[in-house]
Amino acid sequence: MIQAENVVKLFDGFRALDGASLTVPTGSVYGLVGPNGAGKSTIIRHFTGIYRQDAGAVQMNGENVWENPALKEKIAAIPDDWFYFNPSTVRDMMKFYRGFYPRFSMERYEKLKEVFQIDEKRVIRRLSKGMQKQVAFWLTLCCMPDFLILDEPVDGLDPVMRRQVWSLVMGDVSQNGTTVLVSSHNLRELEDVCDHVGIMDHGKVLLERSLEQLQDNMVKLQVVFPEGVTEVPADLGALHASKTGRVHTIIMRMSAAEAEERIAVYQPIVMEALPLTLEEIFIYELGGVDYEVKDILL
Amino acid sequence: MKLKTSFFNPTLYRKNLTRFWPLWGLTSFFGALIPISGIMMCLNGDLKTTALEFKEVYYNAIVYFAPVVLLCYCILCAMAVWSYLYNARSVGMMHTLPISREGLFVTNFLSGLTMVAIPWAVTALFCVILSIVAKSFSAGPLFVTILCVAGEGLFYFSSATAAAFITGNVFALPLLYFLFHFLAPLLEALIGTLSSNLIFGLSHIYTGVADWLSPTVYIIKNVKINRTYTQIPVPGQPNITESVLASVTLEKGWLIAVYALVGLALLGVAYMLYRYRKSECAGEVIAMGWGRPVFRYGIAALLALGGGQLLYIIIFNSFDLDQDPYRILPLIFCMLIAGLIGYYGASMLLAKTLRVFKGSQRGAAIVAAGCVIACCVVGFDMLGVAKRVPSADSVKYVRLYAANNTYYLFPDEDADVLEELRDVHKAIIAEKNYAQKMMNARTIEDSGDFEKSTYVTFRVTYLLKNGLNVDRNYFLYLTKDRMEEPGTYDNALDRFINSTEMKLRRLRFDDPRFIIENGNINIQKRDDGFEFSSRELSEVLAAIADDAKAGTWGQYDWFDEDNTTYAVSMFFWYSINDVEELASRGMDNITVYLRPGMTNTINCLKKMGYLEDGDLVTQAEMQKIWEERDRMMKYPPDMAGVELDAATLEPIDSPSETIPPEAESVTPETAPEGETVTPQPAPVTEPVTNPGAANNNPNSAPQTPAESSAASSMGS
Repeated sequence: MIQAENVVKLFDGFRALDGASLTVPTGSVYGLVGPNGAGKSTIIRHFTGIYRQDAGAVQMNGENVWENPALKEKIAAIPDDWFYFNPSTVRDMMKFYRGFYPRFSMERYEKLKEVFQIDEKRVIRRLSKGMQKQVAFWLTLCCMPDFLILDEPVDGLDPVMRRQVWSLVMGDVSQNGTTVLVSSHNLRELEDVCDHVGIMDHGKVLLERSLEQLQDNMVKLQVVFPEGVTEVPADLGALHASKTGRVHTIIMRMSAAEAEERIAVYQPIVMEALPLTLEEIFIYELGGVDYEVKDILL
Repeated sequence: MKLKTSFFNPTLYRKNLTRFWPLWGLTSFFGALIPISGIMMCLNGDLKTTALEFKEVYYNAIVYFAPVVLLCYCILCAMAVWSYLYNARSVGMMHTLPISREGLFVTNFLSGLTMVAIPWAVTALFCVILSIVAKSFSAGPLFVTILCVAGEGLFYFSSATAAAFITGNVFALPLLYFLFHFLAPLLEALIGTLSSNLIFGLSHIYTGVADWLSPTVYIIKNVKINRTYTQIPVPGQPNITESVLASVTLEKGWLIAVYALVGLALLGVAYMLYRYRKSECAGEVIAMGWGRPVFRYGIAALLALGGGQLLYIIIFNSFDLDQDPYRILPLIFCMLIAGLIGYYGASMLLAKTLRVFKGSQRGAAIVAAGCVIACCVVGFDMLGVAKRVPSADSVKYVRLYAANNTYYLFPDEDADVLEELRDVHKAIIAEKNYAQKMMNARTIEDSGDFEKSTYVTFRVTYLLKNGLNVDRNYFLYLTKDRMEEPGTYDNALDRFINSTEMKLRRLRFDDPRFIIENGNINIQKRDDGFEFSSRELSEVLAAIADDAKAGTWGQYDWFDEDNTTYAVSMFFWYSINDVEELASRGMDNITVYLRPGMTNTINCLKKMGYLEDGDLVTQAEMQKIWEERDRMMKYPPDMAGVELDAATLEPIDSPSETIPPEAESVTPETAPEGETVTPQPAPVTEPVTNPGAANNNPNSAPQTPAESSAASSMGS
C-alpha cells in the first residue's frame, strides 16, 4: 500500500502540498489527476524519495520512504523527464540499474528487447523522445518493482506503443501484484487502466475513490421537462446543467436512482441516465472549486 | 548484484570513473610528460642527477607545484562527481535509486578522490622509473612526497566538496570555491587599503595575518625547503671548488598534516550539508536557506569595500580632498553605490530574476547603514587607532625607519630613547591636521620653499609582547622654521634623530645582535674605492664611534644643503641575528660621510693608507672640481674657444653604469618592507678588491654632489 498522510511541502514559502493525503491499495492502479500545478509531480517525488516532506508521512507498506534504501529497492519510477547519463547506451544504463536494483531481471531484459526493438548499443541521446520513453519502461520494468510510480508515463509514445506499455504494466499488476501510481492529464487513457482515481488541486487531494464509486457518485441525466418547466429547478442541486432544444443535460452528485427520484417529482416527459467519463467527473468535481474547465482539457 | 552495504556502491563508483575519464586521463598524461622527458634525457646521457636532487625536486613539488595544481584540479573533479546535484532531472534520478545519501556521498567522494589520485600516481610511477634509470632512487623522500601530496589532495578535494553542497549551480561552484580560498587575503587587502587611506599614519602593509585561511598561500609561504651546500674540489682542478647540495629538509611539513585534518573536518561539514540539502535546490546559486542572506550581504560588503574604493579612485581621486569629512562623504557615496550594486546583483542571482526591487528596501537600508557606519568608524577613527602610542612596558622592541636609517630599540636597554621616540610619535599625532594637510599638498612647491622644507618618511613599528604589531608610517613635511620651534614635531624629530644616543645606536657599535659583515670606502676625488678587511672594519667603526661620542660626527641634514662634508663616504653591511623577528630582515646597512672634525676616523683611515690629505675636499669643493673636469672634457686647452662637433667627443660614462650591483641593492634591504624609499646612490663607484687599485679611466664621470647628498645618511 502506498500512503501519504497530510503531507505538506513548502517551496520558498509556497505550499506546493497542503495536507495532501492519498492511499493506493496494494495491487491497484491509481490514477492521480489534477490541473497543472496541482502538486501531482511533487507528491510523486515524495513517493520516490527525492523530496522530503515538511510535515506528514509518506509511506509504503507502512515504512517511511525517505532514506530507506531497502524499501526503495522495491520502488521503480519513471518521471516525466527521464534522466540518463550522457553518452550512455541502453546497455550502459541497464548495467547501471542492475548495480542498484537487486531484483533486476536480465531474463526480462532480453524478453523486452524483442518488445521494444531498440538496439541496446545505441546511444540514448540519439534516440527519439518516444524511444527514450520506451527505454525508460524497458529498464524500469526489469527492476521487478513492487511499486511502480509513473509521472506522465506515455507522453511521446505512439498509440500502439502506449497500448503495448500499458499491457506490460497491467501484466505486472495481475501477475506480480504490483501497485501502480500514475499521474496523467490523459483522462481517457487513465479511465481504461485505473481502478482508483485521486483528484488533486492546490496541493490537496480533493477526492479519491475507486473508479466505480466515482461513477456511482455522479450521474448525468438527459431530461425533457413538461410544458412550463423551461429551466432546471434549483432544488435539484445540479452541479451543471445545459440545454439543447428542450433536452436538458444535468450532472448531479448522487446515485442515478436518487437523481431519478428527485427529477420524477417534476414528471419529466423523457429521463435517461448516462454514464460519466472520467474526464467529465474530473471537470465537474473541480468545477466546484472554481476551476476553469477550459484550461484543463487537453 | 546484491548490495552488501549502503555506504558504497561499486556501480556508481565505476560509472563516475568511466564517465569522467577524459579529465583524469588528460591530467595523468600531462603529469607523466615531465618524468618521461627526464627518462629520455637520462637514456641519452643528457641528465645526471643525484638522489638529493630528486629529493629537492620532490619537495618543490610538495610546496609549490602540488598546492597550485590541486587547487585547480580538485575543483574540476568536484564539479564532475557532484554535477548531478545541479540538475533537477539528474538529482531526481540519483535520489530515486535505492541508495542512501550516505552511500551517495561516500561513493561519489571516493570516486572523486580517486580521480584526484590517479594523475599523481601515474606521475609518481614515472618519477620512480626516472630515478631508477638515473640510479638515484630513494624511497624515503618519495614516501614523504606521496604522504604530503595525499594530504594536500584530501584537503583541496574536501574543501571543493564542501563548496559543492553550498551551491546548486555548477557555474557558481568554482566561483565560491576560489572565493573561499582567497577571501581572507582579499579582505585583508581591501580593509587595509580602506583603513590606511582614512586613518592617519596607518600603514597599508599586507601582514598576512589571515593567510592561514588561504592554505595555498600559507603552504607556499610557510612550508620551507632547507638546503645546505658543501664546497668540493672540481675534479682535475684542485684549486677550484664548486657548491654541491649536501642536504635537503622540509621545514614545517606538519602544516600539510594539519590541513589534511582540516580537510577531514570539512568532509564532515560537507556530509552534514548533504544530509540536509534539499533536492529541489538544484539550479539555485545558494542551496542552503541560511546561506542566502549571507551571500546577499557578503557580496554587498565585498563590493562596497572593493568596488567602492575603485569608484572613489575613478571619480574623486583627482580632487584634492584633504579634510576628513570631504574624503569620507564621497567615499560613503561610492561604497553605497557599489554595495547596493552588490546587494541587488546577489539578489538577482538568488531570485533568478531582475525583478528584485519590490520589498527590498529593508535590505538596501541595511547595506546603506553598513557602508555609512563602516566609513564613519574608520574615517573618524572612532576606535582611536591613529592616537595609539603603545606604552613602553608593553613593547618587546621597536623598529624605526627615519632619516633614511633603520633603528632597533629595546625597552630594557633603551628605555630613555624609547620614551623620546614615543614623545616624537605623540608630537606627530598632536599635529595630525597640519601633517595631513601638508602631506596631501603633495609637492613642496605647493606647500612652501623647497630649499627650506622637505618631506621625510617616518615609520615606527612597535612589536608588542602579546605578539601584535603597531605599525605607523608617516610622510612628514618638515621646515627649517618649525625645526627651530619647540613643540613642533619637526623640532622633536630633529632633536631625537641627531641625539648622540641615536647616532651610536645607528652605528650598532658593540651590539652583538648586529654583526658587521663588510664595508668599503669611496673617495670621490680619486674616483676610487676600497674594501675594508674585517680587522679594519672594527677599527674604523670604533673610530667613528669615538667621533660620535665626541660630538664631531655631525648632524643629519634634513634639507640636503650641507656641502661641508668631505667627498669621502663609507658603507657598512650588517647581518642581524639573535632576535628572531629581526633575523627575518636578514641584512642592514649604513652609509657614513666623512666630515671635518671627525679626527679619529680621519686618522684611522690615514693610518690604514686609504686616505691622503689631498682627498679631504668638501662636497662644495668637489662640485667645482667636477665643473672644471666637465669643462676640460668639452673644451681641452688646445681647443679652447673652438666649438667641437659632438661626434668627435668621447662618450662619457654614466655614473649609474659604474654602480656595483651590491650598492644598487641597498635600498630594498634597508627600507622597511613594502615601502618606497628614495633610491640611495652607490657609496662607491666601482667594486674594489684591494687598496690602491685606482681607477685609471679618465673618462669615467664622478658622482654629482646632488647624487651624493641624496643618500642623506648620518654625518652628511
